[in-house]
Amino acid sequence: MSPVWFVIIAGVSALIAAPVTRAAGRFAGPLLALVPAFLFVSLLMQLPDLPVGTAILQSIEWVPAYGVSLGFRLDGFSLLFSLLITGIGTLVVIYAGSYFSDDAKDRGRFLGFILLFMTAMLGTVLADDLIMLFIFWEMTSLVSFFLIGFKHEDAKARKAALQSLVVTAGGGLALLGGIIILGLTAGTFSLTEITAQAPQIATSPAFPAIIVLVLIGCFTKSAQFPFHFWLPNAMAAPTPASAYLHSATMVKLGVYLLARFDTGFGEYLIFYAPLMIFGGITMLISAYAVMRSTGFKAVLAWSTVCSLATLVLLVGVPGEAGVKAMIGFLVAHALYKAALFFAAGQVIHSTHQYELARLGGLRFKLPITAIASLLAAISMAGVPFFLGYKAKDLFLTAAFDGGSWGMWLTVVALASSAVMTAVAGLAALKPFFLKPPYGEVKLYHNEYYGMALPPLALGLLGLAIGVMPAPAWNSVLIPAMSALYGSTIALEVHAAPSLGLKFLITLALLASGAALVWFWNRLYRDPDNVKANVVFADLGYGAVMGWLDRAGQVTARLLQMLSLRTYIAVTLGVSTLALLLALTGFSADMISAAAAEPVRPYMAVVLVLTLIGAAVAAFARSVLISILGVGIVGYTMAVVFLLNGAPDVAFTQFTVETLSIVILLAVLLRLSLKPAPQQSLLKRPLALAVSAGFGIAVGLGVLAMSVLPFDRRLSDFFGEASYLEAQGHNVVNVILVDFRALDTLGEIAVVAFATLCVWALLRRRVKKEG
Amino acid sequence: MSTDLLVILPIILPLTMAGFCAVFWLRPGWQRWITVTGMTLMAAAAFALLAGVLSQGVMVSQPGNWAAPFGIAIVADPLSALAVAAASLVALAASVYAFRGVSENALHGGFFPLFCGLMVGVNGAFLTGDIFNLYVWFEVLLVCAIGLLVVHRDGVNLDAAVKYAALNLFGTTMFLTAVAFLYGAAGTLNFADLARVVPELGASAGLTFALVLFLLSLGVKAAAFPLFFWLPIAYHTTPPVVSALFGALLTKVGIYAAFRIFMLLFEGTTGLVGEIVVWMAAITMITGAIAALVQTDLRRMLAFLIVSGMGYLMMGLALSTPEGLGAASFYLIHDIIVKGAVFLLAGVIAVAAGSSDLTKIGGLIRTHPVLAVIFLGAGLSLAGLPPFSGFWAKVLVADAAFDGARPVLGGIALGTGLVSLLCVVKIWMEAFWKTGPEGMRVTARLPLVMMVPATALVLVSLAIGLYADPLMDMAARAGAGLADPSAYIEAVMGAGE
Repeated sequence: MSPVWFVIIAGVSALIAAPVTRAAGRFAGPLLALVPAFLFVSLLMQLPDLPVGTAILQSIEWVPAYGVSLGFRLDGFSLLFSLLITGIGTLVVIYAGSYFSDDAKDRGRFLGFILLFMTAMLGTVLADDLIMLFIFWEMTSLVSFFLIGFKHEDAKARKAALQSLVVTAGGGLALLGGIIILGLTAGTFSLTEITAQAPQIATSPAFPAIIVLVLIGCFTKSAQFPFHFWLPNAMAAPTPASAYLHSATMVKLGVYLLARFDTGFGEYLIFYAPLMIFGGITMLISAYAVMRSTGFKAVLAWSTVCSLATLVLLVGVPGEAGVKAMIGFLVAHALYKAALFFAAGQVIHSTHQYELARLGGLRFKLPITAIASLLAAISMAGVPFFLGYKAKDLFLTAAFDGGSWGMWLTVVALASSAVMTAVAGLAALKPFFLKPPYGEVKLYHNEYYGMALPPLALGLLGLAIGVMPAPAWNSVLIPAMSALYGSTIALEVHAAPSLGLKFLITLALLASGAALVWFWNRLYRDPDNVKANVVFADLGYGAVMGWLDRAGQVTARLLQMLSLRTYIAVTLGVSTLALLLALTGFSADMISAAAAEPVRPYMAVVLVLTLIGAAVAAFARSVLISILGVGIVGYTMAVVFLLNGAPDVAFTQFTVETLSIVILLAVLLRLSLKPAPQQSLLKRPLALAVSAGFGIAVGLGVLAMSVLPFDRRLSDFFGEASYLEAQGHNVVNVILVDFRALDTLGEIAVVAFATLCVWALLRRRVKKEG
Repeated sequence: MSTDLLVILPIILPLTMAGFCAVFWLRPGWQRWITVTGMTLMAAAAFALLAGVLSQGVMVSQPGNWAAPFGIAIVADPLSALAVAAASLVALAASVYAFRGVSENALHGGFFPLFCGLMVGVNGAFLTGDIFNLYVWFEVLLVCAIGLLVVHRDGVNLDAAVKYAALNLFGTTMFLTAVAFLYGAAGTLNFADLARVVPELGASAGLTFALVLFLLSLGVKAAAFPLFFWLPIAYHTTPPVVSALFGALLTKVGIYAAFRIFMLLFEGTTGLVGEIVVWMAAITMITGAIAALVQTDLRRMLAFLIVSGMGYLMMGLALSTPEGLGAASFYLIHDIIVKGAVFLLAGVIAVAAGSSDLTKIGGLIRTHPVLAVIFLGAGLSLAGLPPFSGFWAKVLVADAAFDGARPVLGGIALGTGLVSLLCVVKIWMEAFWKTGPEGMRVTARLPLVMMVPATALVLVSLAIGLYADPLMDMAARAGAGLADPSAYIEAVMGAGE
């Protein structure tokens, strides 16, 4: 099956999810789970066709005009991701079917979103074309928004949904910017080709911009400092969504893309240093925050942030060791964290209790969940014979092997590992095996099998791969490593732990984790550290949004609340300034033109009348008188035309002037005409200056222009052709009705429509019937 | 059909229909059908014209058979044909939508003739090859727009009409002044002839003055910073169908004219003018979006988003590269369709929930899931998200900016996209997600005449998004035609000989 079919099948299943759910009722979960299960099996069947170091490439023409194709790439790494997506997806669909057992409508909606999300995820990890990758990437952000806001009547859920979208879609835009620049630099959007020409791209001046933008995109998606805050808030989503999106798959997309870029750009400091620094900081912050959290899901969320940071850091670690540890940890985390979320969902669903501190003693009430949870936690703690042990072992190897970054890596690795061990203990032991601190926990319903078996399956898988490592590592994990590293990686994995320094450290970590669990209540109750909680929360986000809101308020007020007079003044003022600026170079033209102008006393009389009209318009108390003043100006202009040998133009001017005054008056009469508000004495000179300035600027422009001879080509043609070709004696008439008849048609239309306007204003209102 | 007729039909058809409507003055019911028929024919003509231009290249009609530059040329090149097609599509949708929601007052006051008249002005402005003739269509447009504002006759509308008229008349007057200066300097009015003559002239006061006046007047028309005040105060007061027409078309005509004039006459924006246009574009984009974000009235918010969109379009002019102009052409078509769609949908939301004030409505996802899905599509397109036309529009514009050595502009374009997305999400959360307030008047059954046209426009945007290649190709041709007008000049100047 070629890669595109995986996406298509998943997409179709998303579309039919709602009707199928309605028809299938209780069995909707298992029934729909057949789709991801089928995809999972089909992916496994690809394994023989995909020897280490090969990739299946597929390209379908899509938007050649922009060089975008539906380009797919299935190699070891995308296969690993696809297996996680479809495998955990299968379990999530089964789980969600039970989770929403009491609301059929919600169930259909939810399963539709989950399958849509799976489509988007498959599209992202199978994409070779970066624009296509981005489209699916944004789709995951969008579906995540809908799932976090699934309980949309709840204001808190809406707020969290908005926050996650702002952060991830905002980062997405940075990523898009990076991709566009990368496309311009490389001349292609194909990841395969870009990786091949990485050395050339790295020498381009745009390289730092590309890397920074891509890093921002990945950091927001994978919740890295300073964008880490959205993920814990995203826990407002229903638990199956948290397990799938906000732990096992979507938040790992940032890591996915970083790893893809690492293949080509891993050796450049500008790429790997930020990964180590920000990954490390995020690890420390989240390790601290997890110890301060009280909510069951919050603890898991912060520990997810810490794990993502670990992955980011490992991508940054140069060389083979980083790749090995990254892949190992990625798989181990996906399995145990999804299981823990599943278990948490079961506990919350059946007890209606969200606070970890109030839970305890549930081992006999939710037995399967308790076992699943225990298995997952042991893997997470890194106990030998579990997948998590091997992951931690590789992690420590990479950290100790870190060269000049060794010290930093060791510190963050040890600190975070100890805390994660503690979290494992907390999440798995406390609700089930420790005594409930506030008395027996009330159970609203017994364990649902649909919600208990999926985590058990994941927990057992973690154990199975730990005990019998060869099949999974050799056929899936090591090919994924090799695909990323660019050449075959050799790795012997044994079930039994190898004794040595690392083993001792592992034991020490287990002990320190146990100690942290033991002292957890005391640490949690220490009130002195509350300030620190706030610092790591979404203060910065709140500040930016607040700032944006204030800027918007101010802008909006300026743009719609001020008086028309102010708007005219600004428009006129800007225009006057621009025009005067345009004239600065032409003062010599103006002087010579002014000197050439003959003195005509009768024109002065007309112009004085114009000025009187203008003054009346400006200073009259009544708006009506003002309009008449404007009319005087218009009529004197007509006289000017008349005196300069253009009687027909003058006649037109008279008509237009009359019509416009009628319309204006009609409009104004319809408004309740209060006496015009008196302007303050300060504003009046300003208004005068602006209006006079505009007039003067245009006047000067005319003056400066008049030095140049006029090109008479058109006038001459009209003069000659009007009688000979158009057979008319009056040139102006011929121009109006023949040469430029279309203008006249348009102007007739203007007059006709203007008449309609006048009619609309003057006629009586239609009385409403009844 | 002869070329002459085909090119001029998109102008003549609505003009004829306006006349018919006027003849049946006392029968608004007949006018309604005349308008819908007219808009259908106009859309058909527009697409026939587009097909013609795509297959034959630039098409010219010289009414009266007076060869350029002596008569008035009507010219359809890829850009104008595309713009006419998109505008006609929106007009068709609006004419169907106008079966509801137009007051009796308006119906008896000449709503339909003015509607047709607006389209005369819009298509005339897109198709004319003559700068004075362009002014004439601007006038038609303006007077019909004012008519559509006053025809409803309530206080808010009239107040908005006065503000709109005052600022726009000033803009139009400046345009006319600019034409006068240009004619004085170059002695001709035909675009193609001007494009030949003006570059040979050398710097002169008249030409410089004309350039600045064009920039200012089209800045007003295209709602560019700092000349955009008329838009947010006028657009939300009208009935949705009028807002949709205005939002989709009026400012677009302004930016189209700016593309035409600056590319044909002044070889794009260069030097100081170039820098100024860059900043006008950037500030227009940002201010529109952040002012939109704090609006509580749906239609006010959309009005500010029009302003923001104009900034994106101005980027094409600021860049003046074939890629930039091509991207802007794509954006223009996208924007015409999507702004039309969202304003129509805003009207539907107002019917469904009894108000367009976001604080007074809510819960529509439960009561109107279909409307929710359609609005979501329009909103995502508006915010530039895949798989809608808005995504490609945003990508192309940003790409052109990075390519044209204006990375800051590209960054601002992408960043503003986030603010637009925030606006859309805000509408979504307020109108659809949150629980509706007590006493909200919900109308369960939405009129099909409103839903169908709005949905159709959203589907067009989706189709462009999923199958972007044809439009992208046409837009690239439009951009190339603007950047290198030799084909345009040859078609016009050679046609009469």
